[in-house]
Amino acid sequence: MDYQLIWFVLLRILLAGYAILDGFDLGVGILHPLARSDEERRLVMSSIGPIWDGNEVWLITFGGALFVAFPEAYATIFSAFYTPFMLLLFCLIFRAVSLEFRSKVQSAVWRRLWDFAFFAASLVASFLFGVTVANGLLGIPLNERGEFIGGIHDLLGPYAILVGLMTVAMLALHGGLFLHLKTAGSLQKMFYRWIWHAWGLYLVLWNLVTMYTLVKVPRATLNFEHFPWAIGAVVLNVLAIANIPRCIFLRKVGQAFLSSSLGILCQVTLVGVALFPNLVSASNNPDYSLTIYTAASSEKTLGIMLVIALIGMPMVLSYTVIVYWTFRGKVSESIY
Amino acid sequence: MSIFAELDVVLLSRIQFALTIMFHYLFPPLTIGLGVVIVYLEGMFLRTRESIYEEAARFWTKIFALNFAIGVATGIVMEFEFGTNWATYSRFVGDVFGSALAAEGIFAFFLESGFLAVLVFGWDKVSPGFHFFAALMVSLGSIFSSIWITVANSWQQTPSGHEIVPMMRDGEPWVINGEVIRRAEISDFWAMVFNPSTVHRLIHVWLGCFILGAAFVMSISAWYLLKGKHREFAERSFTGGLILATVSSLAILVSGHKQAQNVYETQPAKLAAFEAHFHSGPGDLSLLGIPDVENETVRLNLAIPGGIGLLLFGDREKEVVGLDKFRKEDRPPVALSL
Repeated sequence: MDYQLIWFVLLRILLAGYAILDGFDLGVGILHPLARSDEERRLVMSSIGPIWDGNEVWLITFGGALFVAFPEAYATIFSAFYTPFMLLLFCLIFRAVSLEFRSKVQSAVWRRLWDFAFFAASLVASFLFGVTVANGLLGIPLNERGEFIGGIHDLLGPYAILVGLMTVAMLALHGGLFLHLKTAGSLQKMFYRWIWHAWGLYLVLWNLVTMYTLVKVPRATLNFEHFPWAIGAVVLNVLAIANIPRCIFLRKVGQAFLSSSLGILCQVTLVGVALFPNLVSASNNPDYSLTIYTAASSEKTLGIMLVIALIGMPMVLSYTVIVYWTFRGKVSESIY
Repeated sequence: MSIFAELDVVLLSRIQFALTIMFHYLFPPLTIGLGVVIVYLEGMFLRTRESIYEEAARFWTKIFALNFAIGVATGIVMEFEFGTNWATYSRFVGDVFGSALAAEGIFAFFLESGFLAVLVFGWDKVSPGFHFFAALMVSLGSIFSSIWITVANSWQQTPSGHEIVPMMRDGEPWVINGEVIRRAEISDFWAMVFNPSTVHRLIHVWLGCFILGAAFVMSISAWYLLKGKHREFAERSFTGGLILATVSSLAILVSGHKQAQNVYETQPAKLAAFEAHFHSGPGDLSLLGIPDVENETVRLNLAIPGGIGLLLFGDREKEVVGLDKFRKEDRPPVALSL
């Protein structure tokens, strides 16, 4: 395995970590309006209180790692997605601020305002992540230098919208499962009902996206002949999604949550397989695509950064485990 | 006003980036300063077991968390804007500059945000010893973060440890329209990390952060003391803040002095610009004045004769390199930096 490939895999791991961990945070935000009373809403927010910012660090680190390992891809992606990413930033800011500000003032209007901001920001952010992935699969128009030459209208086609909606449903389900694990009593019962709704919606949208992808996005399955194991990821993905209702029915929600996480992991992997060896596919001319070899930093830098990652990541995983272990169990006190 | 005539996309992007950086930089320094105060208070609690220290630590932790959350949110914007606004720059320096940012993510942010959860929400869930450890880790994380971002920034000011080389495509230099595409690549990682201004800048940043954190704690404590509320809590916090502020403000005098000397050694044009020192020769230290770049003079100048030389070399007569040693197009803007 060369450095470029190792870094491609490492970035996928960071992205999967982000999607699974911050994924349920975003899902919690999407489901937040379902909680009716003030106390319930506070409990819902408190369920992610200690962990959301740690989860968001996966995104920051993904960004930094992409910057150093594949600067060409970082530059192209971030400037191509200027508008959606600015919107995304607004969402991430509003989410953070609404969590922190909501309970600092005793006023119904104030709280309604931040409740709405929390919900809308989570919803739009999830949608935008889906849109970005969809465009990655479709490819974007680039020039010879690897610079984006399209406009905002190139980024919001029907496929992108469909994948965006599927992402919203997927994360709502993921967040719902998390909330079921974290809450008790009538609140838990309510989320139990909504997990079913979210799963149904996700199933419909997942099927639509899968069909659309198979018909309209040839590159999605092109690499399967080079990587036969990718078929395994498809099967695992289907099994994971099918296992969720079985587990919900048997009230093994922890297992359902793991299945949902596995499903997300499979999808991040499959998108990676579909892209490989590209990081950014040029829709106008395949020669302009940025591959893991043409977009990479020097071997020396990739080597140095690999040492840093090998020292750092085990530490990161160990304190992630410590924190989740410390805050295991039901959320009982409202911290927001 | 010429500035409005030049309000193109580049300038707007610079203004946007400047606002992002300035707004972001309100928060992390307070994180670093306040972190030290919390470690002190928790350490005192472990030693003395007086509950008042714990109460004080709890109070500052809440503010710390709020401040940290906004720091994270505004920090993501900064990282994104290197790509959204400065893609060409990122292509050119990503190999070098990106390494500091990635290292910051891996070493600092995870440590900080992970243990922050224990610090803020773990009071009744973990032992006081472990809680102190969490405070220490959060504080350490924020300090690690300052190291890597200062490395990145210092490398921008005084780059070293890199070479500018052609980018390769299939073993050949990459040429577009007859032009070879080049970029900066790391040649010596440690020379990049410890570039000529990193250490000076880092010490200066830390001391500044400590002063900010201490002043923040003291001002709120002082308000409580004036109002006669939470007296004991305010006294303990004020004491911690005062110790930190006194030591740091004395130390920053030395550090600032050293840093200015370092700027003169590594970036003489920058020093000449921010002192509005147009002509090489003994330098007057302007205290007040309006620089007139056109005529290369300072109007309404209130200055200490030979002051720049005195500060740099302890010698008022010694020649200080002025802006005249640099081509006009290479000179930094004077009005803004002064």
